Amino acid sequence: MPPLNPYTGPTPSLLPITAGSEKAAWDAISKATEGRLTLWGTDLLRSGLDKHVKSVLVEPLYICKDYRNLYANFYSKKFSERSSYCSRLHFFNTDALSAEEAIFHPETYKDNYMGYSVIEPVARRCVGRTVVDPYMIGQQQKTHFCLRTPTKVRIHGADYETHGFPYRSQSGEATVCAHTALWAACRYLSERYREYRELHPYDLIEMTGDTNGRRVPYRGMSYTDYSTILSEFGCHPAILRPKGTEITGGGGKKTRDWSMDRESFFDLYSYVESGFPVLTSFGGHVVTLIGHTILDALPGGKVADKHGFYDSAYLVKEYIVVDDNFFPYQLLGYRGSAQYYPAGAYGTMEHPPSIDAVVAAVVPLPEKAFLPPRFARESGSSVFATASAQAKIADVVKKLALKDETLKLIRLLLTSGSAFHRRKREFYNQNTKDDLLKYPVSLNLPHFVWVLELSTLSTHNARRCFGEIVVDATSSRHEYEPIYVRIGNHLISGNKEQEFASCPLDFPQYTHNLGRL
Amino acid sequence: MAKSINPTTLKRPEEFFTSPKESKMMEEAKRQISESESGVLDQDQLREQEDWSHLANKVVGAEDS
Repeated sequence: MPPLNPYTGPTPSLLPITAGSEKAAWDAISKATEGRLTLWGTDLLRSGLDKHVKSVLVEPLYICKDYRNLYANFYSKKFSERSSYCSRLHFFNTDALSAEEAIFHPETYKDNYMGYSVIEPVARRCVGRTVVDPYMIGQQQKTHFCLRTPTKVRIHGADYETHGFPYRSQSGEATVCAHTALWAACRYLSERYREYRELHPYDLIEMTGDTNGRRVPYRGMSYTDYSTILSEFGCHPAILRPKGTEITGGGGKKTRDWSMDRESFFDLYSYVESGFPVLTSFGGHVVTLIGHTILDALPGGKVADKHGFYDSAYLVKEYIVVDDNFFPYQLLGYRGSAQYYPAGAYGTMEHPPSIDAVVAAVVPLPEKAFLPPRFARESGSSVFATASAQAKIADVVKKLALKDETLKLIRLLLTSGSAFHRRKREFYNQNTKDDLLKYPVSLNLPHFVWVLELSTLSTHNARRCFGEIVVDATSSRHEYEPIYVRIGNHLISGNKEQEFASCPLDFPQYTHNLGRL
Repeated sequence: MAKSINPTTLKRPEEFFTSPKESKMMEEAKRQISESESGVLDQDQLREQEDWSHLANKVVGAEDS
């Protein structure tokens, strides 16, 4: 083996990927990583990037904090020598640049930067820390609601930034899917919120309990392990365990029937809508829900609540998931619909992943979200069902000439008081005729609020609503009283109400919530 | 003599209600919620009492295929 002089080489190189010559280009990329990029890694990256990436800047030698952490604590203890260096790939959606230009003129190419992937020197599953912007690989902002966080990247002194959800594959040696899912959720939170410390992969292995035996090379984990680790990380996790009668799904495989416990799935949806990554177990595998796509019509099988409202969870077409066996941002559908994995990929599992097949879900909530979503939803529905609210709703529906008035949708989400202030302030600045958008900005709000929006299908499809209840999420169910209610241009607070004739009847939905950059 | 300070403030929440009417909505809602609350509590208690032990030590995150 030639002696390595890491100071002088190898140096970064830029490889264009031309249509029709993708295989040759990726072979060259693998060679530029000194073979770290395996065939498995190439296939995984190509499955998400082909058609979008036009050139790849390869940093052959890269010191990755996550890999070094695993190396120091695990790989260095093995007999076979293994490099402590990784490679890093940077993806651009243009080929009109050179390595020199990419590094000396990042300002020219920052809008072309799609993200990066660290390539670790491990057997087969080599894809380490990866952040790619989902909206640069075919997903649409209007239909794909997805968590992203800004990540700064410096390549030999050139500053770039990407926005995405952290991803890494499991090595199968030290880490399993639960570690990678936990790592991604924790890294997302620590990148986004200063109060969370940064965790590295081996930290998660150490935080795994040993009551079930040794932790390395690896052992499987249960959802109770996730809860323990997330608690130690600083979250206050909620655990959902949907009931579900087992039924025979497509291909003769067993699956579960989500309609046996709709409320749990409404809770799951509300947490995703609120911007929390949700670790979701299917019994043998865990993926992270990080967003959803949306239908524009209510599907069959919908059931209204006792007041006649439909939960907007029914409009989820697919959940956007991070499954470490595949490129990030895959779409998880209901049983019977097309899935992101090939038939047989999860053949050994009793319940292959589908929305119906959720066995347990763990949500890394902040401490001060005390009021459970179910209570916020049911109580808010009761408010909209009062005679006084119904009269106002009927008036709004009539004035807006909504033809689909029978399909009234409620949409529940949790947000921070400060994010809610900011969004309402921005909405007001976009439409200064709506004085009611100013009202929440004038309020002193708690750390977290539940927001329950009311719309019909047509207003929902326009991402607007005509009713809103804001509730203190730090309160208990016994203290339940909305901070305010808005229905059309009526504002209700305590025992006072007033119509604001000059204000519009509908207003923008609170979309992209905590996932907003 | 010190110059007087005239602070400006954000419009206060109560200033939005220039000609308020009495609302019965919250009162009505509270009544409805308290009527249905016993049912909600019962449901929650039932959920807690359900036996989830079959999941307690089940490996749910070890897939490495």
